[in-house]
Amino acid sequence: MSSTIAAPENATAVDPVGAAIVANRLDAIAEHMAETMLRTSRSRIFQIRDFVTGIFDGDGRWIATKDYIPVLAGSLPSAYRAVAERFGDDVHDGDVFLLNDPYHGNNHPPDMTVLKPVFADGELVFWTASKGHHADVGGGGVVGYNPYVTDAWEDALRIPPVRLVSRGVEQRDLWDVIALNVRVPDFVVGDLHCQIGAVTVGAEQLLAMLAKFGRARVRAGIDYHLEASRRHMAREVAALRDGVYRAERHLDSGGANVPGPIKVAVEARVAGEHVTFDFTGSDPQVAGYANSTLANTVASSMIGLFAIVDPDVPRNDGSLAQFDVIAEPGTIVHAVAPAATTLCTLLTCETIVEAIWLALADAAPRGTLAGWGRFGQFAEAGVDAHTGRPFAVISSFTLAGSGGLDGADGWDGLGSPVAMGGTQAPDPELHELVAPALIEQIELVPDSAGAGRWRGGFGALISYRLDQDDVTSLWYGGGTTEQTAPYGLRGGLPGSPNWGEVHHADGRVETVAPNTIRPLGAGDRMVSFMAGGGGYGAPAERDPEAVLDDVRAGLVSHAAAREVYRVAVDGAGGAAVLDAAATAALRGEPCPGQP
Amino acid sequence: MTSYRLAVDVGGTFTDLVLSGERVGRRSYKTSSTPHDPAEGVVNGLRAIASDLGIAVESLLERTPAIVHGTTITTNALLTRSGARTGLLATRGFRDTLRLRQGLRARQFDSRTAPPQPLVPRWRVHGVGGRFDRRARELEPLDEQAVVAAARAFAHEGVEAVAIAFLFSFLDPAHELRAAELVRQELPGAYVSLSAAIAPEVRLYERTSTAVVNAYVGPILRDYLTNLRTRLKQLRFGGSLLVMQSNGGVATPEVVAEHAVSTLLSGPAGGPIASAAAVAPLELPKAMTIDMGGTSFEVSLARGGVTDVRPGGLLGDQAVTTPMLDISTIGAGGGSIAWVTAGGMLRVGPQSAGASPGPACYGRGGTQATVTDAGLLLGYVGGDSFGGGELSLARDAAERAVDAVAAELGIDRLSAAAGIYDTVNAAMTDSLRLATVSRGLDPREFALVAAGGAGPVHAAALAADLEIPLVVVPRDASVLCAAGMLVTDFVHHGVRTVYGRTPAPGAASLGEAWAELEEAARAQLEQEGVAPWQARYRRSLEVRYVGQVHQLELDLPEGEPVTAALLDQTLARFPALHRERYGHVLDGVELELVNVRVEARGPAGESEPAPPVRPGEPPAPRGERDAWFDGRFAPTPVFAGETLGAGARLEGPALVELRTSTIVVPPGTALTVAPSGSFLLHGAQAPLDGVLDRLHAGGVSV
Repeated sequence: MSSTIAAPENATAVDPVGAAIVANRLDAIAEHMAETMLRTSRSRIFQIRDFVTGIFDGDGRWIATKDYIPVLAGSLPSAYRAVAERFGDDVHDGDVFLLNDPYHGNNHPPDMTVLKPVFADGELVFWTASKGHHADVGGGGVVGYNPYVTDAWEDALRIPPVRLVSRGVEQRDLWDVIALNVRVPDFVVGDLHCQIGAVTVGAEQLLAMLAKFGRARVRAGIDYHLEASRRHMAREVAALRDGVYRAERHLDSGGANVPGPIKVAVEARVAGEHVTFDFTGSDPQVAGYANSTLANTVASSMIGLFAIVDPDVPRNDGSLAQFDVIAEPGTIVHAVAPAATTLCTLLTCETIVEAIWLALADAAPRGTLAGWGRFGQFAEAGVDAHTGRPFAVISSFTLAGSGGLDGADGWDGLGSPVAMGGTQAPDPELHELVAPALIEQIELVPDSAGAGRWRGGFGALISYRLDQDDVTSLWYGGGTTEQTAPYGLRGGLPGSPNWGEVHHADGRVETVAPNTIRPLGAGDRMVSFMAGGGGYGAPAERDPEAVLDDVRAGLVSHAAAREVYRVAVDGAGGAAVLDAAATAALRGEPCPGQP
Repeated sequence: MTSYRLAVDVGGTFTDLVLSGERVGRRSYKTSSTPHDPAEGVVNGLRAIASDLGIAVESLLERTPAIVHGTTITTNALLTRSGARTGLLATRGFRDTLRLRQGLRARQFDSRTAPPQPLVPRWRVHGVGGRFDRRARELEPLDEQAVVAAARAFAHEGVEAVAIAFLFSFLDPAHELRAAELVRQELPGAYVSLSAAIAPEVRLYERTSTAVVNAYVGPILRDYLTNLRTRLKQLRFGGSLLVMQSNGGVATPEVVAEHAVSTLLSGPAGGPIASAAAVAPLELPKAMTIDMGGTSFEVSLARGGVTDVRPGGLLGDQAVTTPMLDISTIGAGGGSIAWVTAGGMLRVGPQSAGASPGPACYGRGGTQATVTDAGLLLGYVGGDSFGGGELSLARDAAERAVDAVAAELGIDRLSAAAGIYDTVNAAMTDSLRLATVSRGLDPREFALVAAGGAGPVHAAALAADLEIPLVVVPRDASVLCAAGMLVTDFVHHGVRTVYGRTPAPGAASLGEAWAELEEAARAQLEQEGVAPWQARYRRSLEVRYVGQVHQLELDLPEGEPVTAALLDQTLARFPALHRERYGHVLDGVELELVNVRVEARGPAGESEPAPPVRPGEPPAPRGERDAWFDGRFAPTPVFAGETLGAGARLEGPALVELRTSTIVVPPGTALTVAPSGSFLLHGAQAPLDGVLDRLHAGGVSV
């Protein structure tokens, strides 16, 4: 998003060394805040790193972040603005603010955003922020996801910007309201404390930095850093060919009762050092839970852009200045109250990111990224028959493949672009110890990756069997159809789609529709096929040795090698060898060794 | 007849040896390493010592009852991917545990880099039937036919090492044990590594990875040690060869050959131990050791003379859960490259010019500005005295390299050089601050011990930024790790996961677990010749609030029987520790027990303490050169470190040249030589006694 940057006329007149030191210190503090959260959180969701931290300066400029989940980080600025707009000057030393409402700066309600103003000598000098996905925020469904809702009140408890701590005193009455409205108050209250701990640790270290470097030097360093970040992104955007590029991608559905496809359309206008993502023409918002708030659309657009530029471009207000987002109110990409939004950080974010990558594929000299596997998974909730404790698990073994690109294959089992590989898949042993289910398989699926000169990453199959009755099971996400599976680029083939099945104890096999809930019992087995990433470039141009490696690994079949890659392989496993002559014949090349 | 004790640290470039004994005191030696056959470098070093003593190498070894050995052989095998041809037996359905890497990517937005490749290719990972569940119930017997078939496939492929890692084997290792038996029948002579034996803890990914790394480096270590012992025997060595482990203790070759993974930090582990020994005469309660070499910067913390141990971590890109000294590494060394982002930000590292081509000033073809190039232009590092005069530095090459950075930043050459120095220092203080504050510690209560070629060049600046009042540069800083190996114990760690058991284990079953772990450690120590009365056992319990993933370790009082009261008393310390580390407690939340641990320790022989250094003449500089302080050059006296005797004191600005490093003494800082020979840096206006008093008052609860 555009925001004014106090760009010095001649930036190098400022001490560039001091700026580097200040910028490093800010990053270290954001990381330290994240480390504090990782180590003190109570819910497993924080522990798989479903959270971010951030730092703003006194003017509200976003200056540092630790973004395990980039889609959450990208909306920190709007959360800050919501608090600043609501409270204005009524902000005091020792205050801590909270919000979760999507119409007050948040992406979606499960993420609680905590912001702390930091004062030095009575002056507001920084804000520290922590945002994470809570174990429950009221509403129905499983782990906060209810595909049957039609509006924001059904979706979750709505918390506008409020003062959670006032001048150092916890506002007990507010905490009581929150605790009474969630199913696992221990976890929610514990994790709020963990977030307060993180923003407090950050505040202390920022003040120590100010005391050491002095206010003026820090200010100059931040100015320089933001301007350098802006210039860095400007250089990257300038490397795209000017022009107007269009693409469309689709959501599988908008909720249990909102069938898809739902269209996200983007027009990317590249002009010099600036790019505009105009989503005009996207479908209207829906009476389901997949609506994206503007904050979420901006954050998703940010992923779309940052994923295809130099990974060293810092993510802050400086670099954000080089792109704009236009989205019509009332559409799937700019929902207006009271539309429900819980799924938007997953399915809608992914659809937006894909549309941007696809649109810019012709603008970037080496293309962008082929499609990544979307999130599409089961989650369960119930009461553990053995321990009597309630359990709720997102079985987010984020193990879909990522897409190929010019010069590199996709990664196996990296998960969705929502996290870009920042979240950790649960360990199967730990998972069995907290959920009454036996995991039978977590293994890559042969031929799941989209073929290409640079193939996609392979997706995994996850299968687990329930140990007990009375479990509520949700399948949420998307990527289940030919239209929504990871796309191939420049001749690369699409990856396999996501797919969920329930193998009932009585032998029935049911293919689950995306975004639906069902009761399950002992002996029922849930099977998820996670998508393979899309391929880049023609498969017949892939290095035969690379194909051989995959055949040896048992991940590309002999048939696919022959028919798709035009490579002939004899034998299996470590003993497999290339048949060079047959390969040359398949590829229509002269036989090796012949003139 | 004089009896000697020897430590040998084989590094990538040099093999360091330290000899200790009556009459000879303590002497250190350096010879070139011989990577094609590291044992040869060891023997060359022994010959150098013998020749220095004027005796035959055989008589040297006849008089040496123990050689302590640190080696990077396993680390190199792992980092250069030159380990054994390894196969893996996994639970059926879980072949891809390692390849999936828990779905993580360290550089999230970097899609151009290929994923780390597992040490075992997928076709050598075999899933076999057999399953235990979370309550240690056998749901399905081991599919022995599948094991045999896999073993035959391994034999066919020439597999040298087999790792076995089954689900929930930490609860019941029966299937792994039986599979090992079958594998040994089919593959006699193969190195077999069981996850339940190497890392008996919950978490399939880490346990599998540890077993695989152990298998991958095991045969390399086993063969190397056999080779070394044969050579030593030929030279009439009849004493014991002891190998340094990552946990800071030593073990016999028989023990480490089975736990090869525990030697991955064998070389660096001597550093913190030596550092603790160097500051021991000062009785400092808290010390932070930095070892800054060519490519990396290593940090460790010691409290009460004991270096922190962590239960595992990443080595290279491999997860390993085996207790190791808590040494954290950042990519900042003398060879770290300075560069400017497309937006105009100065960065230093993580890319390094390493030893080859090395910094531009080495004149070996490096053209990018490094930290050492900046140090040369700033006058900190001498152009002709670098590395003991073995290497003459090319100033013009350094100037060209730094000028390129300066041009990109739009500043002059010296500002750029100073900027590189300040930026790398800031990166290091950020990591030191994270290392202390994230453990609830205050860096100002620490002394900073500086080692490595680049450590003393930067130490004073780091201390100033962190408000650390005292820097200690050990006299034998150049052979720090080897020196540490002279003063180590036998150390073994045992662990058992108790998390997830229902009902939660009580005093009786925990007591049993500790007793079993102690018994296993006792047997190991006895095998190493430690008498039962010499062995010490530290029992601890890892605990967390219900639902947390990270746990805190609580020690049990030594020797007391495990009763419910003792447990309650121990657990009662949890909230205070949680508050110290994380700033808050969770009232009313239950605790859950995760692991019980035992650390067993036995003396590995006494070493002569380093003899005190004699007082010398008043310090006299051997020269002068311009060095950059406070934004300008000042004529700065240069002293030779070895001429400074005990009690010598000088004030900055000054440069003190050691054999492989230079101590930078900025203005306002004084250097005092301690009776032990260590160089102490402190504020010129702060009397040393006062500084030491302040650090002693910082206190420590062990």
